[in-house]
Amino acid sequence: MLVNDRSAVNDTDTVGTADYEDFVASNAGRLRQLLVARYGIDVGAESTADALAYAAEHWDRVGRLDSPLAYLYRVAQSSSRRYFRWQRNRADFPGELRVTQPSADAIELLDLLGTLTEMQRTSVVMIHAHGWTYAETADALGISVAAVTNHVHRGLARLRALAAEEQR
Amino acid sequence: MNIDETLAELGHILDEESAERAEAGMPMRRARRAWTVALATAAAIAVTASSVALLQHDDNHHGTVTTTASTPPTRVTTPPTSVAPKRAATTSTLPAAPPNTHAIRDIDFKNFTYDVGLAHVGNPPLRTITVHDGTYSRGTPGNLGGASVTIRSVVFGDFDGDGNDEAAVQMQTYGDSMLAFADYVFVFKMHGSKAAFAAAQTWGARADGGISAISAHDGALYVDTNSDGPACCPEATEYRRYVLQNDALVGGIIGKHWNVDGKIIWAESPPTEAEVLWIEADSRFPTPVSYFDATAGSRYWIHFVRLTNVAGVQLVGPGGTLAEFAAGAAQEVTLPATGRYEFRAVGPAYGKAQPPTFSLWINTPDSSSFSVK
Repeated sequence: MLVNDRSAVNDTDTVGTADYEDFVASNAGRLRQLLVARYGIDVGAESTADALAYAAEHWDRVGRLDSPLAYLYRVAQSSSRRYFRWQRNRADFPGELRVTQPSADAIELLDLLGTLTEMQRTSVVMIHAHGWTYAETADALGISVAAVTNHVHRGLARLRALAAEEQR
Repeated sequence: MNIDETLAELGHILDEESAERAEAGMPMRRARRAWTVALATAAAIAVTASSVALLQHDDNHHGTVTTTASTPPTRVTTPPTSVAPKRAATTSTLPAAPPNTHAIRDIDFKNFTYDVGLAHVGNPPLRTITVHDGTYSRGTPGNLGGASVTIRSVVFGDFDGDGNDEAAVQMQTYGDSMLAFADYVFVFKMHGSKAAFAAAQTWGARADGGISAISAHDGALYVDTNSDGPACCPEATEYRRYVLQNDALVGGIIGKHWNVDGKIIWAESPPTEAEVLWIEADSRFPTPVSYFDATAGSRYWIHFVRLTNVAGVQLVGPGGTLAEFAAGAAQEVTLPATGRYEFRAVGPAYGKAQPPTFSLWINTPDSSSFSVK
């Protein structure tokens, strides 16, 4: 669920600390899913923390937006650039796996996902791995549902083609 | 692999891994904070501790110090007795400088801006291009105005022997007509924090087959090129070896592999004196030796192609001279004993001062070919 229903918390046209805490409790994980899908585990986690820190500082303004999650996704995009410059290369998806023991298929698919464009990968992962709806994904990414559909379709087609190629 | 089922598994993996990062406190941020602490220690030498409110570290690892003190920072003003002691006293207390992290291997050449003068690729010509994920395209390649660039591979090695690695980038370009393609090798070396163009070579235009592969080995750049035919159907592969000297690639062909029977390797480059290159059966990287070791009963077919400033070449084994060759001579020899065999020049002819040179083919019956030059 995206946080775009502020009627319950904004009756007095003020946005307080409790609202921010509610937002973090219900959306921090979702924001992290989104950014990890796009930038990999390390940069995704870092960018999420940056975006939430920004939200805490500017909650008076961010909390009034129709979709704080989508806005913070943009904030995190800007934030992520510093890590790319710092690493001197682009995001490495998925990054190092430290705590999980994925199956061989999962490892292979993670590698294949790394070959997709960022938008294709984000769309595919959010919808097919995390179970977001097309509308939620489109809203968070700031693109149309049709665009998400295209990204998912092309991303899956490419994944299947690559997987078939690998098996040959 | 069932992609749909595996994707569902990935959701849990990514969630668990990213949650672990969040709980661990962000590795990048920890590293940046450690660096900031080091800078703060350094800055404290010159700036009073009470005035330091914020230290920032720039993204190029050089570090900049900014202060947001309510009062202007006061520098420690110890009257120097002389210039030298002042510098020594300051630098001796600074933390050790971090290692230079501007390694060329950190440069992502598949997402990189190339300003290497691709003036004759495409119409209008490409000049400075930025590749993303190893590709760049404009319009429809093969049609008017179209062009594309693909980064085929990137290898690293110390090609100039200065102790620092250089990068060699294999780039394939396709212009605005059917045959307007060319392959390049660009060599980059680090200048400060940036990779700077150092040298280039090009192959593959029209009927030339272009580059098959590049590799780095023992401080040299090896370029395998398709030859004796266009890219569709080359009849041979030429092996070339280059080193970087004065920002130029210096080297040439070291061998040739005919695709017809897959057996013959031919060394063409002019030899010096009686230097012999031994090419092992499965290696493209010859190690210069002046001999080869063989076992008794081995059979070789030897054909001397060219002799310069030399009357002939002797094959000398453990039991003495086994055979003597003149230019154009071809002979099959069976080695009588196990041991070391050398090629020795006989001459020089014509009384010239230049060293004798010769090149030859050697073919073994079991197809483990090698060449000498």
